[in-house]
Amino acid sequence: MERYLSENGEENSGFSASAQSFFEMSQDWYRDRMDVGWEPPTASQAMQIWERHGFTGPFWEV
Amino acid sequence: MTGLERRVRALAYRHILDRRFGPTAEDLAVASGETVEDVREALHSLRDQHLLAFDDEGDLVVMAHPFSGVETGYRSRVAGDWWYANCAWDSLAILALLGDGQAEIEDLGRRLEWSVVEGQVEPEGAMVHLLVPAARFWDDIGFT
Repeated sequence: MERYLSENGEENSGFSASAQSFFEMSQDWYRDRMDVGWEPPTASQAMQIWERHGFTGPFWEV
Repeated sequence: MTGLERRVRALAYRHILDRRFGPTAEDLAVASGETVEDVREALHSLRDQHLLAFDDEGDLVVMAHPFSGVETGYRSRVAGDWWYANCAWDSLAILALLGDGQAEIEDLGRRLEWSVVEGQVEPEGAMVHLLVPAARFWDDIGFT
């Protein structure tokens, strides 16, 4: 991935994390998503979910 | 969300789970018992709330995250079935929702395969990179 990002001038942009982290965050982020009663998170709630899994910093501010 | 919007959103997910591809407004009208016009209005509202995405004609649901309603280079397999995802993150998210399985990724001239076994992603060390910050995910959700 590092080689691809470097080859395409993207090495200093964006956000990277392990697939494991994304998987675990997704269990939290997408919980109950398909339920008719699901409520979309507020911006604050979204950031709290992401923060629990180490997804922090300006990239994850909404 | 209104009651109809909730039902339309849930039915869109049901359609993709059952058929692998996104529903049209007509599909959702039949499933919900509502008029196509009312369903289209609900779809537009859901799109404005960033809860679904549809095609340029506004008739086919192309994204109900983490599922794609159309063919992509990202496919997630669980228990003998499979669905399209929108990106690498979503390919893992489908497994997070539905259970252990495999994510097959063909993009950027490369092919990758990840597995999730008892909640562990393999190969260990696999990475995901996002280009677009969260505040701008929906500026162009297709690009994101």
